[in-house]
Amino acid sequence: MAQRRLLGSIIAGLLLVGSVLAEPPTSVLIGTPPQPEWVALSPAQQNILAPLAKDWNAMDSLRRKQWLGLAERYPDMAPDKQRRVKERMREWGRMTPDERTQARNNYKDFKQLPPNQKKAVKEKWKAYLSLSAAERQRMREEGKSTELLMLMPPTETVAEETRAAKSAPPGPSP
Amino acid sequence: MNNEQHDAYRIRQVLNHGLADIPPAAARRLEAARHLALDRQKQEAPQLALAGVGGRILGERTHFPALLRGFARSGIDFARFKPLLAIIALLTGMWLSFYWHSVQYVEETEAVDSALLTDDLPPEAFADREFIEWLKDDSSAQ
Repeated sequence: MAQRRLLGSIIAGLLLVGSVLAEPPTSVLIGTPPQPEWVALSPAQQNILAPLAKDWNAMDSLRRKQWLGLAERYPDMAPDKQRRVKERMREWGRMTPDERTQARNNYKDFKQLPPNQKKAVKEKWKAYLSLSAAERQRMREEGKSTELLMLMPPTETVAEETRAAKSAPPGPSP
Repeated sequence: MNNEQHDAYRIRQVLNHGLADIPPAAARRLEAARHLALDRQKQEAPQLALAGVGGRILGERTHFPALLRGFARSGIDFARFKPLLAIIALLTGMWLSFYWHSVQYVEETEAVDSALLTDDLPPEAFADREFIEWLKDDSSAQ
């Protein structure tokens, strides 16, 4: 009897640990009640979530609930933000749960940065996107990310960081 | 009550007195019948106890619904369902806990997702592991 109890405790412990470590946690997936199919959504919800129409019925209840929550926030967003959400909806929905979790964590870190560093990250991303896959890999292996800023026309906010990144001493001023 | 006890005492005395005269075959039959009765009593004890309690609690004079009184009188073996009821209660409790966890998780992710999907930087930038790691390594090396 004692052995069975011990075994039961171990199994319960492993389930609990697995539930906490998984992303999204298994307990959250179990605790989310079933959400409506696409045809059961209101016309307003269908209009907002239109980019997800094809993928909706294949989504689990948790994803549907998250999207329905976003649809509730949607009317309060500014028009340009509404446009962005619709543009990014499908791509975001097709990411794996791990990718979304990673993106959320990175975004939380990004929000902690001071404004000038945020601006620099945005400029770096633009420059990074302009490179081919091979060039990106070469840059990551050989260079620093600040070198990306040299590929872009300097802006007021990032000019200071760009100057600091240049290894060559500044030339004589005219 | 005293008279009853006295009568019972007398009956017991008479029965004990007659024990010596019982033939061996009858004694064996009595013994077998006693064992049989004890075995049945062991099996039915929980049912009788519960039915008795139910009968007392949900008696005719109480105002409980007739259905409950019927259950109590019917002698349904509630003890047999105790483990099942315990499992149902445990599962219900676990599901409620998971439900609450789910509500909190969804609220938190909704807030982050709505900010992330409306930011100047697209979600791909934050999901690009190599780019983000490169930025972090670079800034930590400086």
